[in-house]
Amino acid sequence: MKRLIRPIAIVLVLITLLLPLGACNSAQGNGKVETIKIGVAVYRKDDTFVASLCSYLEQIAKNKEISSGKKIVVNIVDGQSSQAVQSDQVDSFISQNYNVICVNMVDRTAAAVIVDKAKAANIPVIFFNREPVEEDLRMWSRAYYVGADAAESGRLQGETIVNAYNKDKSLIDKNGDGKIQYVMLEGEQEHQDALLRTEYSIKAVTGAGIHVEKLANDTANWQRAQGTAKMAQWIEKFGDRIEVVFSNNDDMALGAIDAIKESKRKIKPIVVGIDSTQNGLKAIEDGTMFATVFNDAKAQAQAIFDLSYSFTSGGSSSAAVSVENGHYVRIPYWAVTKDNVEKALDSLRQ
Amino acid sequence: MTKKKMLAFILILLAFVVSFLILNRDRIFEKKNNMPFQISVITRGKSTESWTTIKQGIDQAAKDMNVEVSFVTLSTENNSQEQISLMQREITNGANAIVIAPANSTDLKQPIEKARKSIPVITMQSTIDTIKDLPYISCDNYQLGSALAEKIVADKNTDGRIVILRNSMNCSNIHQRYMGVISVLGTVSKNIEYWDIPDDPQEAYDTAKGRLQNQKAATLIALDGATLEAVGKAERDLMKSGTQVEIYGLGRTNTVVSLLESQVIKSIGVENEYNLGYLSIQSAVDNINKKSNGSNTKINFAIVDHTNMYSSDNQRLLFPFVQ
Repeated sequence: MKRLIRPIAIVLVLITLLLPLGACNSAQGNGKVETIKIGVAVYRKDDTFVASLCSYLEQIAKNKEISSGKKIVVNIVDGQSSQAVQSDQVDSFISQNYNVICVNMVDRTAAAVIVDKAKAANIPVIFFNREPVEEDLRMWSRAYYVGADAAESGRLQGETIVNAYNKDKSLIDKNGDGKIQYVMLEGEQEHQDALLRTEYSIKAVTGAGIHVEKLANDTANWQRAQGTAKMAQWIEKFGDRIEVVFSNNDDMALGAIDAIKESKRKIKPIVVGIDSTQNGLKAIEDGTMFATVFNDAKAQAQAIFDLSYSFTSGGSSSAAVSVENGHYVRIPYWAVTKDNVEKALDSLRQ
Repeated sequence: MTKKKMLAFILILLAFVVSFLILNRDRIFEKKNNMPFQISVITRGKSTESWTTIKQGIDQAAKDMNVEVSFVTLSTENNSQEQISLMQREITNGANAIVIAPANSTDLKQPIEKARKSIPVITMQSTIDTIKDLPYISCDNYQLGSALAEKIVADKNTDGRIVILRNSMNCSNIHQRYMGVISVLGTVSKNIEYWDIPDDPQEAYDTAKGRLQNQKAATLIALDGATLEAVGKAERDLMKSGTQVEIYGLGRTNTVVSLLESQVIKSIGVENEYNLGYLSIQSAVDNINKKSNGSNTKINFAIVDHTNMYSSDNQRLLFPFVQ
């Protein structure tokens, strides 16, 4: 008996020491496919641009799933314009141990809280489409923003009017008073993209030495129906005086076009948008919209995915995409008019 | 080893075991009860807008019932082989239950039978009729089809050429819908034809547009939301050039609702997709907990046109945001 005690004691000690290791490692093995979970929280799923970006993201992930043999879950949830709902959704992603969290914020001031939570859980966070303030991003080295330079989109939008004006003044300055009378359809109040697009579109025009006169401006929350309602009011008030309609996005520009069609006026203002949505490009094709700016949803989706994938595969983010200042991935814009609308449509079809 | 040494050894051993249990108490005791069920939902196609409402129901159920859902889509529409391999992958990855919309009644039969031996499998939208006691969440698709056909009769749109758009006929729900439509229209019209519509949305649109331009039809009937959207868009784009056809269909997407409002589409039959998603997860949880009563769940549906689309009941079906 005494001879047996020593080996039994050694075995028992070994088992006791190895038990915790077994508990830690129980999830691996058994032929399981590696799973990558990407949580995507959007401010509204029915926003045309955001919806197309999400659709590209799902496609890209599906293709990668096939080529890599890994299981890639892209869970897109709708914040329904409520920051409280979105915060709950982000909490849920964290509690379910998602590998990466992507957030298109309802309220950009909530970024700091999200970064804090993600940092505590050590889950990288990628903001997109709505840019947080720089201080919030700098709170953590694994917080990123993927999007475009909103000021550039405004500048390009303004330049389409400048080019048309320089080519044929009468096309823009219909009453020949040497000034462009315009109205401005803006996105949400205090939304950074809306503010920058509004500011820089007009700066591009005035910077080219062209005089402008603002007849009206108002927010239409990026939505087509609200764009129609605002434009109908302005047509009623200003009639043929409106020469150019600047819109912070295509949906509101299309809304303005709906109102212009409805009014059956002979003199129609020039309408310019931003985003290059499918319907926006169709409107350029049929001549109802003058210009838009290509906001490359597909390239943004690709950058979001490449960044996300690099976090989970141990690669470096800077190798996957070009990251500026440690936190920013900027996708360039380009202007679209009737001359190059086919190129834009081709880009959407690919 | 003396008795004292042995006692000391046993005490140390006990201390090890107790400390292990204390340190891992969450893992061993409490968390077992709180651990969310892993349920995989496998669609029969790509991630398209037609799944939006169903997914809202799924997400709500997942939240209410502490479930972690993997929403798995295919790379192409109705690809049964891909669906089979994804189902196997999900089982290997530890899913507690599978909710699936079988792409094909024949190909999926054996894999689902095999899967059911290890975990519960719930079918939604379409099912495998030949598997006994397979839980199935859907509306009565036969009734849905016949109700739409009765609407066509009531609208007096049975005199001209009626065309039924065929797509995904291997899915049990589409087949049942077709049988329901034919059970009514077959008795009142001899002038029924068929157009085959491809799975891919762009190809479906192009095919529908080409057929509308070249072959005159008085009434079109689509048996699923994606086909209805494709033909509705084609008709909308052709209306300027003078084609006019009465379009009826089953299923909803946001575009379909918009086309219904603008009267490009005459009438649609729509099931409560939100409930479909919610009840599928609930059924999966009940089956995991072995609380299922074994009966299939029928979802409500309605026939809607532009005159009644804003009634409070129909708004809930058409605009899930107001759920």
